Amino acid sequence: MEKLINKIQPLADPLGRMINGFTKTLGNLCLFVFQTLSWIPRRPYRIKNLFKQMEFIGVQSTPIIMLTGVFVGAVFALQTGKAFAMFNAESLVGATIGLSLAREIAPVFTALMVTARACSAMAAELGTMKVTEQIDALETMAVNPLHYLVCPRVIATTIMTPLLTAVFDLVGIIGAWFVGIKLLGIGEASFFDRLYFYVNLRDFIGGLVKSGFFGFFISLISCYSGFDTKGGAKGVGDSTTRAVVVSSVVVLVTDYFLTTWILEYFSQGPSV
Amino acid sequence: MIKLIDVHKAFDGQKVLDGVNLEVPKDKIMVIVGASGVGKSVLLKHMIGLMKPDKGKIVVDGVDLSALSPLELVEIRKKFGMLFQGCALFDSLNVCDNVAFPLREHSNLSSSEIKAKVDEMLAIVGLEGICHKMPSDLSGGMKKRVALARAIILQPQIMLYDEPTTGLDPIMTESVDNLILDMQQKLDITSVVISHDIASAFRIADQIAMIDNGKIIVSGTSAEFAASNDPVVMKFIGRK
Amino acid sequence: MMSSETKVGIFALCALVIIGFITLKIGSRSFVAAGGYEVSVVVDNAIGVRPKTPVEIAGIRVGQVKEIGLEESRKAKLTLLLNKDVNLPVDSVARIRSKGFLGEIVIEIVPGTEGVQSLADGGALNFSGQSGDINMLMTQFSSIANDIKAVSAQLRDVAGTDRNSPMWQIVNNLQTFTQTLANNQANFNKMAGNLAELTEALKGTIVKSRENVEDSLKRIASITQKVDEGKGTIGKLVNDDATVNKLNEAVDNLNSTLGNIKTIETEIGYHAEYLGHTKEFKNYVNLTIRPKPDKAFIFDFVQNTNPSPDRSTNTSTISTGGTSTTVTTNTATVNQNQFRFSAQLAKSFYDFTVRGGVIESRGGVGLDYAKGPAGLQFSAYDFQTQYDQRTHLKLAGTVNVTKNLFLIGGGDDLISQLGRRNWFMGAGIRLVDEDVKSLIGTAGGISSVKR
Repeated sequence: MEKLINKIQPLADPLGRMINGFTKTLGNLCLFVFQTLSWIPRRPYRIKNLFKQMEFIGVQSTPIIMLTGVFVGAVFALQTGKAFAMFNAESLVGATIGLSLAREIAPVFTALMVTARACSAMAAELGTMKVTEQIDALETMAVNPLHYLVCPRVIATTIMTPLLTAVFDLVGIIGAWFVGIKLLGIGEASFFDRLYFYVNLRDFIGGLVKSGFFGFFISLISCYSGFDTKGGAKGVGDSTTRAVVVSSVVVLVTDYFLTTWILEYFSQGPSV
Repeated sequence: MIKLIDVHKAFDGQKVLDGVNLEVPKDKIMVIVGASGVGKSVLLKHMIGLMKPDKGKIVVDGVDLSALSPLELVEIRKKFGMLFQGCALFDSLNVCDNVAFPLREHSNLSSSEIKAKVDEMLAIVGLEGICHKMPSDLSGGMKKRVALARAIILQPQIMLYDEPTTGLDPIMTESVDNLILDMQQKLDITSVVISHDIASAFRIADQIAMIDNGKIIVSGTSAEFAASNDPVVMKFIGRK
Repeated sequence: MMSSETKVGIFALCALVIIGFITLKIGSRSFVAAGGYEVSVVVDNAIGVRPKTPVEIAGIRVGQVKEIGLEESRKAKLTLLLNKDVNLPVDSVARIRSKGFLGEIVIEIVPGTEGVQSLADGGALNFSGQSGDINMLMTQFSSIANDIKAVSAQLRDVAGTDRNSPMWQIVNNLQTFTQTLANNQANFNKMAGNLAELTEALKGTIVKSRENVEDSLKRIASITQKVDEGKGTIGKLVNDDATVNKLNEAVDNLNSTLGNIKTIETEIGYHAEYLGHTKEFKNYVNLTIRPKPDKAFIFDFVQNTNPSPDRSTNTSTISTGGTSTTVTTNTATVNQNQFRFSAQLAKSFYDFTVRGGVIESRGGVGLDYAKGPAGLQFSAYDFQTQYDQRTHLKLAGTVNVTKNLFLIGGGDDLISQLGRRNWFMGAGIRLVDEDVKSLIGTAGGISSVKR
């Protein structure tokens, strides 16, 4: 019996520690989310701070979003154009791209680009503030760091991601239009007719709602990761990496569930 | 003013504070000395409620910090000013905005009033005309002074200094010491200074306490401290 | 330097404009902007209809389906949103039509009599049924199939056993004709001689009239030149672009119609087998229709001079002076020169083809193997065992000499008890509608994207 225990112990020990660590992190994250949410409605409202974050997350992300949007739409048009040509259904290219952009591609790609550009910076900035005691300093000055640092970032990301998604939708279609109509020679009328016919408003709005959730998640995860930084420059690097990896994974995983829940509820009614 | 009663604190099972009892008298400068890494900064962070003790009480002005809600804690923190070891200036804000930060958060002053107040504080710490510089453009001593200006702008009743002289040259050390004494005389505040610089401690302290192994081993006036027969103290102050 | 508020404001404005633009474009009310009116129509089957399905009059879009719902738990009710400037008489009818090969669905409204009271908001249209290219095609196909059935039935009657039937008369006439030909061998030789003389004479004449011919050729050249230049009626007709356009249009229409049946391949064949044992000929006329490359309907008319006998049992009771005896006679009747027919369904897997159905007027199955020009065919049919018959087995090897010519040989009725086992060899021709197929194939395969 003792032998058995001796054998199991080296395996069970790290496993237990891992489970312990995971539940602790999850608990901390939940607490963090809860506290952030409870601080959001409280005064004072730091509008200037919020606008600063909105500018950083939204306005400054626009070029990269447009660039990726155009090329995603273009390559999508190229691929579907070639594939649909095999059975003479090129006129469906517009509808296919419109649907997939509105429902999936635009929200997910926008969230990933915002993660890569803005959320990594968020985690690095907050991490640096943590290791240089700036966050402690805030607290000693009787300012809640969640209220001052996290709330504006979360609100700004949650508002800006859907707006960027809308931009992505538009430029994606422009990219697809260019390749599909100008290069592949698909009829413009049929391209847009089918697009307007098959893409419903609820697909578009559903995508925006979804990207709002994405923005909320990625900003919270990145802020938490920054607040959770330990050690010096290496700690900041680690928390930045972790913020980007976890945010991206969370975007892709929650995408499935959000699609199932929100969009299913959203698309109830006679017109499917 | 500040009373610590049997304060315990451990990080990941490692004891840092092991039953600390200490009383900081009002309007005096208390210096807490000790070797590096014995938990001096932790002690200081307990006093302002940045950390919560595992066991024990911290009483500030007759109020038990551990019994307070986060919002009440925010209120009590307005009595404090704290100077961090690394200054902890906000590197996204320039010098003036850094100094004005507590005022903007906690007062209803107009921007011109704030401006006047900031200039006054910068004059106290002996810095003028660097209002629009960013913290990254400042030297270590200047940063310390800006941080001090920021800490005192709300006219706190208690000032906490976390290793104010560490990493400074002797001349700068002396000028910071003088600043601390100045504050004391001009503003009538209770000060707690964490230091491992014994010479500086004797220069400014009314009271000195020594922390070792998670406990306060000696606490008393500078004279009492200098006369202590505790072997750790004797070793620390270099007395045979 | 712009403040961040201004930048965010500009950005948000742009994003909201985009959202508004997309919403307007794909919004369900985008087409009928304002002031449209609704009418409803109850249909039997709303398969393929969804909100935003276009509503057309004479091919022009006038509105769209607003919503669909169930009517009395058995029919579908479509609510149509129409432009307000569209005026419909109350006796207008709607129908669901599918456009094109992909089956795009539109609701088509056929306006009723002019001058009748107009349909008001919330009114109801009548439903006139479904129609569409594919559906129409299927209906037509089934009616064609019925026609074929009727014709084959008639043919069967005509080619029946009655020696006086028209078919037999034709065969008899042919026999007489060939007999006569054979008897007139000498006359033919004489004719051939005459022809030889005639050509000799002609040769001389042609040499003489060569100048005339050259002259005529010149004239012809001048006429064609005139035609080319568009002089005269014929010239105008030939050179008129409108004519060409009309012709092209007609060809296009034909192509688009035929495009739908482009995959159907028809094969017509004939072959004869010489039966070595009974020294008889057996003739096959074959029609194979392949809707898909791996599926086929095979029809054969077989003229068999030595078919399996038809058998019958007669039971008669003979009474003689109070005692009655029951006599049972088994009769095997061989009806020579009887027409038989085969109709089989075939399906191919790799190099094998499985077929089954009616083989020479009996139930049967077969398995074919084909590799390159060579093939093996095995058939089993006529499974009756009532009179100790054995199943008719036939094994044949085929070799395709050219695309259209093939040789066949093998054994027939292999396990027959009655000494009907036979070997045979023969040859045949097979014509595949390559020309038609390639024509249709190119017409249907044009794509706007280069591959």
